Amino acid sequence: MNTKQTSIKTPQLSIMKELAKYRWIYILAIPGLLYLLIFKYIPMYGVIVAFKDYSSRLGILQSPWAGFKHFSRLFASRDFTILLRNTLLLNMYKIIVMTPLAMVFALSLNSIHNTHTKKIIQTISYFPHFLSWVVISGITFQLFSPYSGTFNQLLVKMGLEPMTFLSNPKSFKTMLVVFGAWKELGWASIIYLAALSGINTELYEAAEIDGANSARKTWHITIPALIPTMVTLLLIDIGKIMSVGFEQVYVYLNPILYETGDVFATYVYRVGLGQGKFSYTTAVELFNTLIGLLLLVIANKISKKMTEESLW
Amino acid sequence: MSIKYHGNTSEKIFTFFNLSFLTLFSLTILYPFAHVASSALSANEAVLGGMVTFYPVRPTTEALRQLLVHRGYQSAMFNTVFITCVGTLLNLFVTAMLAYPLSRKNLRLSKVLNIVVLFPMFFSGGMIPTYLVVSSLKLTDTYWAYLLPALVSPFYCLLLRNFFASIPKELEESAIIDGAGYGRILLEIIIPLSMAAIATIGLFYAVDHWNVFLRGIMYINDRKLWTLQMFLREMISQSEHAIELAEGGSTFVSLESLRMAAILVSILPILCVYPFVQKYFVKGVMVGSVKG
Repeated sequence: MNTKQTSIKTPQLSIMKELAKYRWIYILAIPGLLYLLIFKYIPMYGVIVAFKDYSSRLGILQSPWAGFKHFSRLFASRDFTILLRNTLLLNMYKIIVMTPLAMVFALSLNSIHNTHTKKIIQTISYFPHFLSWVVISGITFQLFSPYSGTFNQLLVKMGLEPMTFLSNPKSFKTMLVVFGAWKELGWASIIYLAALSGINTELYEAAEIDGANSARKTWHITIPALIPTMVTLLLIDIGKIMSVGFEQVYVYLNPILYETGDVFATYVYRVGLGQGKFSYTTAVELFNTLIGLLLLVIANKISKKMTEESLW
Repeated sequence: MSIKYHGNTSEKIFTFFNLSFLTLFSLTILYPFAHVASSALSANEAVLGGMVTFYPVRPTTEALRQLLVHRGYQSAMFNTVFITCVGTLLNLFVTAMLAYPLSRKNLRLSKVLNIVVLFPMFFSGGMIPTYLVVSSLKLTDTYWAYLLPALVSPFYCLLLRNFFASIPKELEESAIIDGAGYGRILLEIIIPLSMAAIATIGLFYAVDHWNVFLRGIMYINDRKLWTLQMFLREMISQSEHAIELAEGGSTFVSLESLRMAAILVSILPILCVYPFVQKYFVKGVMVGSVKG
């Protein structure tokens, strides 16, 4: 019974031999790898500035070590609580608002049967994604201007007082979330639309034979099919919860709004590059990145257990 | 096969509300742009008096004309067009060259290379260490500060890798038998077959360059090297009186009209290119996003 099997090994080339054999294909990668080395990996090493007292005269390597001084300074400062609160809240509002909205928008687009109408709405709704926050801030400052803005003129016509939407600390986060949703909703729905187009139509046909109406089909077939996509996107969002896009906040921020609007990214830019406190702000950023990474790992673990969806 | 569609009352009501919702949302996007365009093209008093809604009131091209002769605007426009053209070409070349070896799973180092590209998406050195690298390379206040720090986006590179990986290996093998080198295979087989993906990430890169702002305020002090977004930003954050009007402008043009004209002109190129590339990008993003 036991036939002797000679294991046939595919000849494994040694690394050097492979490099020699495929050198041309590896050479293609060199410019990209050099880029990554210089502008991604060296800055990663550069975070040691956070543990030093950086001076431009001495450079990164020669500057004296400072231990965890900058971190303790950060945790002790009043800015820290403000920054942490603003950053977390802003991102949480965004996730809470955008996740269901993007799904609803995708479902809503998907239930249009006229392809022409669908195309037009898609084209319009994706467009703001491609504009910069500088442009969007220009448009919104105009629309919400206390004197000539369309919005306040409507309020005045209805007999109400004009409001200062954009310079009011209380409404700052709300406005940012609203503008963010306006800009990114269409774009965020693309990935859900793709998930929708991947659903097997036989499922719907079978459900129809069983007498299911549209609402039941949506609830029992469509929405469950979107869950894996939603979980993946949520994980990515959680990984980014400590970093708000710099430009979105920066273009609307002014000193009156720091209390409710300043986030880590704008703070690092202002204090780091503006005031030259390189070591301190590198520490701020490093803290930020590490917490983000930690949250991502935890969220990924939880999701793996509960939904079997994971990023890696 | 199309799904059967029952036209009963409740579904008609749903369709009605659904379409109304989508139309309303589309209008909230269209209105601001109509407002910007008509403000840019309206008479000064109309803009300041808040008479403009979504059509020009007493149309005039005065604001546009004054903007177009403004020195700061001209150089910002030139810089932005230059950076967008050169930058996008550089991006595409280097990204495609990197994505190709990544897509060859048979290479022993392919796994290591993939991790090297993937890792910066999870951990980054941050703004300050990157600034220190850029400034120690003496790139500040040069065009390179716009181009080099964003040469390859790991994310777009992985999209392209997935697209390349979906191309049948047989094509490449027969080319090797015919004696083609890898550079030629990439240029003459892989890239022509991936035009949907290349167009998509080309658009993304181009938009990123067109909208470049953070790299500008981080690395550039010299006003001659400012981009459109930096010029716009200054215009937007300036108070009404601080504007230095264009030389030779005889008629008074308010900052608001100038602002709207500048915004309009900065949106137009995206508006012109975008509908033609749109048909690619949904497909391009989708093929790329398949886990692989």
